[in-house]
Amino acid sequence: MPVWVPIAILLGLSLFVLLRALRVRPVARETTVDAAFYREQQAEIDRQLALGQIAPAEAETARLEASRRLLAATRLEPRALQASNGARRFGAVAVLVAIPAIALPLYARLGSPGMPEAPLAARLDADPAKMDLPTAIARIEHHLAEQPNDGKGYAIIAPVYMRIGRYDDAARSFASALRLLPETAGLQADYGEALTAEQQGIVNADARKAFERALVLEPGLLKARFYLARAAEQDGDKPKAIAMLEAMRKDTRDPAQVTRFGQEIARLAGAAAVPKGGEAIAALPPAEQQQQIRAMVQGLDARLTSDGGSAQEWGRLVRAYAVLRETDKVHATLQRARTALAGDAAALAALDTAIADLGIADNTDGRQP
Amino acid sequence: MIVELGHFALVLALAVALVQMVLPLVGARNGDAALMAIGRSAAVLQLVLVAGAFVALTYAYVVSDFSVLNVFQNSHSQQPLIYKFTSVWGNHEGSMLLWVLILALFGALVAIFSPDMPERLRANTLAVQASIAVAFLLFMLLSSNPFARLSPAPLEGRDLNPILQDLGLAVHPPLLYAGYVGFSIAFSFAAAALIDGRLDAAWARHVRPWILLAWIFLTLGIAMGSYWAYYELGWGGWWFWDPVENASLMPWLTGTALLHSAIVMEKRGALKVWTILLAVITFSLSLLGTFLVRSGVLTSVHTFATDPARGVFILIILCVFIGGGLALFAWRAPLLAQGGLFAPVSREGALVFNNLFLTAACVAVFTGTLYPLLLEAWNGEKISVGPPFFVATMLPLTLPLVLAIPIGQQLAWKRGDLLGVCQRLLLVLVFAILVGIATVAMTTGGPVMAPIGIGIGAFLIVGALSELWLRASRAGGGMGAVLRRLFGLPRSAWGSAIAHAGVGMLVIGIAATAFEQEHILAVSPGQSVTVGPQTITLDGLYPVTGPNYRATVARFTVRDEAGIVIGRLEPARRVYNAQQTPTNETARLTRGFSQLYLALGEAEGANAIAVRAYWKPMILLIWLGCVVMALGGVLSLADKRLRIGIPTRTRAHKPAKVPA
Repeated sequence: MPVWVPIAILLGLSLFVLLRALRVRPVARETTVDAAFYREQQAEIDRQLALGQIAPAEAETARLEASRRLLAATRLEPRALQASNGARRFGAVAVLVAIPAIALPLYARLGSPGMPEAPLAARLDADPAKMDLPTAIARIEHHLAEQPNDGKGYAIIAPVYMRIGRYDDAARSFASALRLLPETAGLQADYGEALTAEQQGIVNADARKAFERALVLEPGLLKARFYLARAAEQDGDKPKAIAMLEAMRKDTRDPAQVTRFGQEIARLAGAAAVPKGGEAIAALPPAEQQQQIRAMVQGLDARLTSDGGSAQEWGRLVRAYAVLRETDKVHATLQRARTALAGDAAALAALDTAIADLGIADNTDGRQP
Repeated sequence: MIVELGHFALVLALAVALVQMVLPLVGARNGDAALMAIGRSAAVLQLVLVAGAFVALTYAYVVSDFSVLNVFQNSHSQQPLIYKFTSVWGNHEGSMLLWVLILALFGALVAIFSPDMPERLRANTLAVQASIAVAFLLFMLLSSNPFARLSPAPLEGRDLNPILQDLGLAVHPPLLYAGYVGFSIAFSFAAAALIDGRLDAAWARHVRPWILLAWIFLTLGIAMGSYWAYYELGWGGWWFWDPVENASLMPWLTGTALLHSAIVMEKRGALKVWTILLAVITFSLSLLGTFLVRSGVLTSVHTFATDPARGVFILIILCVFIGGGLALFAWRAPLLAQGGLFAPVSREGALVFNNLFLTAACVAVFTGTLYPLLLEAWNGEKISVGPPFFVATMLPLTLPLVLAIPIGQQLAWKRGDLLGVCQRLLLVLVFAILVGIATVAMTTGGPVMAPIGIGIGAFLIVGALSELWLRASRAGGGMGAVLRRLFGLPRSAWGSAIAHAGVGMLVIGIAATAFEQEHILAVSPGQSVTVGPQTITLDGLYPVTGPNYRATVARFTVRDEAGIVIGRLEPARRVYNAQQTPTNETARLTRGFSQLYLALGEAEGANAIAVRAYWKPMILLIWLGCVVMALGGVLSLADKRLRIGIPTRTRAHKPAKVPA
């Protein structure tokens, strides 16, 4: 049922209620309640006197006062009241014209009659196959809020958080999974990786503890060893890092890994340049991907700011900040893009298309959640 | 659909309010009953429509429909249900909707519960009330629309300000708004009387219950806001002379004066100018409060999102209604015939004294609140007018006022006998002095004003009740006859005595704050501290997870002087998941009217936590006094003379009371 149907019913009922009021019968003259009120006051004086609440002399004064007021009230000309048909017609026309003429255009301008409602529960109960990633995440989050002891739920959502860059949430979820599930080397290493990513690639004490614990559970686990090598490097112990990576290169038979460890060793030795480009970034561990991506985004931002760019490039920058979950910058960049492209309607439209699926609302005040 | 229908209902309410503003006014001018009758139907219809919009917004909050911008910005799906309800008005747009809802409610109540009101007065009153509704509905729809939508809808909201996630939000704003907005009816009645040119004792009789109702709500609203600030903010203060608090105090002061003026007008036909002006000023101050809080001029927990455009809009509304009200007054002032004459020493005279001092107190608060703002707007200079200014000005203004209460209550109408009254109050005065001396004997330290204040409080309470006793025993007779007369006294007499006794309780509560004790210290588990007459021991610190927050809870055991455990207190620090801001959950132990108050600070090292511990003797009397004042108002409202009639066709007229 389109929303216009109940709107029409509500409007019709309202008009009916108002028009019905016009049918009031004509009254001869205005009620003389004021006089009645003063008469009641006089009666009350007698009652109080009988109860002994006031003295006879006081009663006499009060009675005098009340009768003076009664006299004044009855002296006032009772004003006539009528209900003429002319006035009724005027009232009916005013109601019938003014109310729809105000309400309908104003609602058409302010309202969103076509927009469906979106109660959260209904959205989360929808078919999971048709769900987009954010909805699926929200669904798991709600499940975990209701059953905070479901370790598997945390283990499922944590890698998803890692993938979309919500490292702090990932770390918290891995920690919960570790608390609730039997401990495994993989979980410990993933936990350490999330902590490292949260610290922009720095392997801090907690992360190191997690990797060491993973190696106790499964000696030789490559991920744990890789990050411990990184930790050694960050401690300034490059030879140790290189030695660890050499050992790892020997232990693995996966050619991709062999190449990767080789590159790392080369980088540490200071021989090879850091590889550039998307593929190289994809090959890096998540924490480093993040660093590289940030550097690229900053480069793009700087270039667009100084030299300007196309709608697609601006769109890419907005999208990049959205992926990095930097809400402030999303809105600020969008604003800058609009300013830069102002006057070019086609470009503005292209910008809107480029970011249409991001769900950025211009009218929010940009406050960080 | 429900949300959009609610939006349409709000727009329709604006159209209906416009009709309600114009047609009854035309009808009253031409003496046409049909056009005037539209006013009543429109007022009720307007209430139904605004209530429908309110229900629709509440529905959106309860089901967490984040496609509504307002819900997204101020709610979170994991909030407990009660806070989903209260979130509706825990923000700017929703609170304006509540404002308009209460405005429509008062209009509809006048339309329904006033069967014996003159038609012209009612029609004009409803028209003026509708003009206020038009202004605020326009304001909402054009600058603060709670039904703005968001597409695509986000999956989680930003949550309500953690400080507002408290039961206080369910109580304080609706009560305060009912008070603020309730005075709109007094304004509408005043404007209607001026438009029609008829202003007499009967008018005062019709308007008085509404003034009383608004005053009761405002009293309770301010008291509950004060108690909420006391336990939520964690500093143990109950009044900060914050501009937002002052904004609610100002209409209370003039509203109290208005209430008393209306009594004089009803009973003696005097003080017409006072009553009309106070009605206009009280509502203007309510609007000023709304402006100060909503414009972004001030920053406080009440401000929400600030937007200068909104401030300008409310400023225009403010000017139109204050200017309109005063212009009407200037036009009709010659018509305000002088009412009953009275001698300076009389009940009327005492109430003029009361009006003067209450208005002067209001001017003092007004100056202290607005001067710094105006100065800053003028030359950017920031000055702070703090509690010292308010204490220094309010004390000399309120002290004579409260001292005069028992005297004024005993004075006769028209001309009174001051000497006789003083003689009758002599015993009460002696008792009060004894109370003051006893206070000095039982306490150590504290300023000299404190025992005096407690003595004044006792003077007020006993003085108020002695008035009833004297009235009942005047005609002599045995104990039985006096008691019979005592309980036969009009409820309004009881109401005013109880309300004035409430003022006495408030005064005692305020004076007793001089004896409070404060300790700020770091405590480790196992450690004991003496606070006032009890000892608290920290048992330990525990983490707790709530529905949408995590908290650190400190568990304390409280022992009295004899070492017997009298309770456990668990103050906490909460961090809400969505906004990541810490809030303080204080814990309080009530002993009689006194409270032991604990608030947690930061952790001090690994195993200790900072605690602010207060012992607050008689503190509850501050709020209980206000509740007792409101109770007196309710009693007075229940009096036959004031009772609002239910519309039945064969209604017998109830006898009315007259000044004794």
